[in-house]
Amino acid sequence: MTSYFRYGIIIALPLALAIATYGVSYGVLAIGAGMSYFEAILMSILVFSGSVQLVAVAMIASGASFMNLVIATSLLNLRNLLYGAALSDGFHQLKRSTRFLYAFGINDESFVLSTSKFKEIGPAPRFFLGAAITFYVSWLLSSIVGASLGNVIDPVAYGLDLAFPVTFAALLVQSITNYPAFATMGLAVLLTISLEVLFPTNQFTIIIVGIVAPFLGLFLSRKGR
Amino acid sequence: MTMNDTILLIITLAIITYLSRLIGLEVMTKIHVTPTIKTYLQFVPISIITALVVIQIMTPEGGLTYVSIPITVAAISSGLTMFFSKSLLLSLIIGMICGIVTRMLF
Repeated sequence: MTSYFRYGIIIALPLALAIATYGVSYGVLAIGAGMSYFEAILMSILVFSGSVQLVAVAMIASGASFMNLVIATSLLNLRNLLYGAALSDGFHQLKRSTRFLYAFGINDESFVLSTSKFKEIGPAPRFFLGAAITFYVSWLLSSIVGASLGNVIDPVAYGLDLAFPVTFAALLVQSITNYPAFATMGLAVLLTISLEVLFPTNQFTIIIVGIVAPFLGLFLSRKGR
Repeated sequence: MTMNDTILLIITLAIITYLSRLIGLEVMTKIHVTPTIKTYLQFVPISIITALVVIQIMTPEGGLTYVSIPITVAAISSGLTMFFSKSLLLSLIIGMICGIVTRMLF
């Protein structure tokens, strides 16, 4: 049992380094968006989700309302439902209370890593735990480094308006792995421009695009099959 | 947002995020998730991130919307660097430099 835990840590280390670069970016941007050092780190402790935290910080910086932040976050979190469903077979042997703890560790990285390893070694919750703890430590430490950096370099003075789009453009390119994804991005660009030109500074652009554009990706994926 | 609003927001987002994980683990196994829903959800983050980038490029002023050239250049150079290098750090550095240089030129 213990060896699977250690195995999870070792396998997770390279990915943990990648997560750390996002954590540092998050920390810098959170401070730039006007959050305090304490708030920036508290968010990493409690939320532990790169996509949710980066999107939230960008929306806070653009003055989005509380309700819109909640809706956009819920939309992003829908994929966690699928991750949990896929992992639940492997977690079946755990006590209910333990599963409630393990649930906190579910994210893009721990899901992908664990489900691919479970195919190889069978359901090993301890492997998941080792990986999830490694990612959590990496996320916390890098958020602290980023927030400290943000306090020192003052991203606003160096062009915060650049730091956000630069980070998100890189994130976006990384997730464009096939043609349907590329087309979805194209439609999202057109929709966003249209909505912003027709209704400048409206609060719902992100949510409308987040609901509508994925239909194109879905349509093209199904057609391709 | 005030300090209290931000703390409340953080706690709310934490609860929503944790619940989505827990519900997936405890409830979704009993519900059949169709491949259609799975595929649709795959494209949600791409759509939201795209909208965020485009909104950051477009700046509303006096009822009209303008495109910021420096931000466009920064975003495109960062995206291209990511495409070719797969390195987030390098993409951020090159994107920032290109954006700052463009801003100085215009």
